[in-house]
Amino acid sequence: MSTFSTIEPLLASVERPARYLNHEFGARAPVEEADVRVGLCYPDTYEVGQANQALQILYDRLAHDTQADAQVSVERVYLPGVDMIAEMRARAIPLFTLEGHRPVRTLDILGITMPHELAMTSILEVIDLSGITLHASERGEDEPIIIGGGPGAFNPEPMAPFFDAFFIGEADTAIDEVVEVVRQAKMAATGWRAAALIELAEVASVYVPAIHDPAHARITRRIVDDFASLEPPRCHIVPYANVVHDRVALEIMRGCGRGCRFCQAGPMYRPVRERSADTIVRAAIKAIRATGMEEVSLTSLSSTDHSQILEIVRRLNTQLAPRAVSVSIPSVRIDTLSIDLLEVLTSGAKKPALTLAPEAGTQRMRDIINKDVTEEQLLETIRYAFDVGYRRIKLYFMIGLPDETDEDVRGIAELVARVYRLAHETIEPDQRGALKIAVSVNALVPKAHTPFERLAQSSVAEIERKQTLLREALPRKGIVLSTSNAHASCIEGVLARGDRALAPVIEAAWRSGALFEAYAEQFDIAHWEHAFDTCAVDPDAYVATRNPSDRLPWEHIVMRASCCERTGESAESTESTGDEAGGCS
Amino acid sequence: MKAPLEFRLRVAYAKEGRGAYLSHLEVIRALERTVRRATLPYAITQGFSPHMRIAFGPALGLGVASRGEYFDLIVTEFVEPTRARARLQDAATDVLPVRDCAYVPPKDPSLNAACTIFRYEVSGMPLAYTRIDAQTAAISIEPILILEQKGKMREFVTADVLPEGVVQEGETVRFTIRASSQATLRPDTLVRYLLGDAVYAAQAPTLRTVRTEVLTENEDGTWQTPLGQALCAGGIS
Repeated sequence: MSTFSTIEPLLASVERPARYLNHEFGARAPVEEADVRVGLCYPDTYEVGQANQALQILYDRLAHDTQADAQVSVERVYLPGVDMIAEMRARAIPLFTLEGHRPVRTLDILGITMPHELAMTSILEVIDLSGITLHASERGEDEPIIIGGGPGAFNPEPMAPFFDAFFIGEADTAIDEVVEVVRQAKMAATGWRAAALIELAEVASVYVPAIHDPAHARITRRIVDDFASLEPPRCHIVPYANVVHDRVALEIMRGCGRGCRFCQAGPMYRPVRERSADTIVRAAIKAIRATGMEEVSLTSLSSTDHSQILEIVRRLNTQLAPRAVSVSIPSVRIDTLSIDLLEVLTSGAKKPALTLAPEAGTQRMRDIINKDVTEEQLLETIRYAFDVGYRRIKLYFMIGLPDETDEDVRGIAELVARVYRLAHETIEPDQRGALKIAVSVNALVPKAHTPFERLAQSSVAEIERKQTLLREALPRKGIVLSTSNAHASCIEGVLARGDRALAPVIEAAWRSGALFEAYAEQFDIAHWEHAFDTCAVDPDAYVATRNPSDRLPWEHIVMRASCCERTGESAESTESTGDEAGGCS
Repeated sequence: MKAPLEFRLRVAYAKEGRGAYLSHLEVIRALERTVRRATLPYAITQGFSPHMRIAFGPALGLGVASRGEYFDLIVTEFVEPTRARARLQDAATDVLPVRDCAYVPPKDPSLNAACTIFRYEVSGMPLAYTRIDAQTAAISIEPILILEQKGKMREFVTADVLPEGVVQEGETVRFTIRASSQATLRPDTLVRYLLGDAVYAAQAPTLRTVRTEVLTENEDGTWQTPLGQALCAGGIS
């Protein structure tokens, strides 16, 4: 039964009520008499969650392929804003699904994506605000089965006590198997929950903490072998609220052939698989017609690596620019961004900003992280970009890299200063007012399943010292610098390589008020200091060097052997090995 | 150079149900997307950031529904109004349904300038609350109303801003507001005046405010809908 009548009186007094309305173009009505009811949750607000492509894919799959025959009903679930949560808790209103505004607790399956480590406390808020028992082992027959997925599931142990199961890898088509197993168990008889978990444990790539022993189990990552022929989502929801990435997102390629040693997405999504230019152009035009949106984004981990990217952008611009619809690429590689492609990208309806990730300021550092790009390539690309009309450039860097010296940190400032001088040499004085160079510097957080998984993470004090060094070395004028919160990076690092002993710490931090921690204004290290003290857990042990003989908490999660597997590579390697995974298929 | 062919299509739409909680910017974005889905031949601006040539009428407050709002769309080809209306209706969402459309003279004043008369209906008012009767009576005789609006005390000439007074029928009050070149009276300001601060604060979450009509005022003082002088009307849907 819809709870909207209890929510509506709150809407005029909370921020952005459009978050809670549903009724967007493309949203599906829940199926009243479905055998199994599924909620797909992103543990953040609507504006962030609605942009998540993985949930869009799964929603489309369930809404189209199974909802049609009324066996499965699918709805979206997001975490309300802080103000709405307070109002709901004060009035004992439980978390609701968006489509039906029904209590989440009444669902059969709650799938929660785990986007990053700092969302862990928000996941606990989702579960508790729903009125669902926090610990999976204590859940009753009338409570949903909670399944985790996404990047955070690749080291599930810190969150294992709160989930009934995890799906490891790409669930594009496997979601059908998971939902069907639960449906069959539910249709069979009473005691369906335990039966469903036993059956789920038999599904490839599903990890059930209550059944699998992490010391002996091997849960192999699922990948979609035939990505090229997988139909892109047909159902696009057009939000009313101004969401992040408010555009049609079309995945043109999956996986990244580059071998950046810090990157977790590389091993998670290999091998590289492409959709054809014809498929992409057809799907993009269809999606723009269906939604009326003003931008289509060609997404992937490294979209300029697509073998037909120039042709795709040209064909789309030809059809869409006359209707003031623009084409964008969110992730560009410096070495594959040709002047032809830059010209095509700026010939569309809007003049986009250019985001590049040199990651480090010196060649020595770039070789250590295997970022296969030179300073000459970077400056040449930026010169092209200024020539064809780009005026807004964003550069991403990292500090806290292995074997990094203060000279390497100053190298970032020197490189940025060269970009600034280049802008002044290239751009006419009357156009320099539009120039904006943004520099974003994050601390390295070594992640599970990467070549850096056994590396020590820089301390908070060391990161803050390097941030100060960088701030002093950067040109004062014309540069906007943003840096990450060193304390937040440290907590991210602890959780990223954590084990099950961290579960009580996460719970204690959440109980003391930790929530929406990816937002600088919400993060408070005091919650975590209190939690570590209460649970008598030493966070430093988790960010220290792991010896080669140490068993890692994520060893039961297997990335699937392939030519792209990077196990055994030395983290201390200082040589660039180039595009190592490019030939994998 | 020959000027490009252009037509000004005026579209009437409603903001219904949950749509009341959409902000003006959210409504604008949603209706621009409706126009694109309807595949109307909309004109686009020239310049650094080309966008659809569309202009909206006076904004509605958050939480206020409406039965009659308008936007003007410049199109580069003549599309027969009934066809344009049908395409817009197919493309619209249920909370922002399109009601009607018609071509209007290209040189007419903008909707923002022309629409000055707004009829409202507020339901969920308390019954047998004598203060409302007293305040309604005061409005009918007081030449000047001094009301707090957005933290400032504002002076309103009663006959100008409330040309039809305030009428209560059961739980509903109805009134018409005329926009002013100074501060325009907001419906929530008037309702707060009718109820008093304490009762207003308690009742506000359950009050339902609907803008029932948006009208233009002719030089002779008569009122008409913004589609009133249509060149080629789409008929009533």
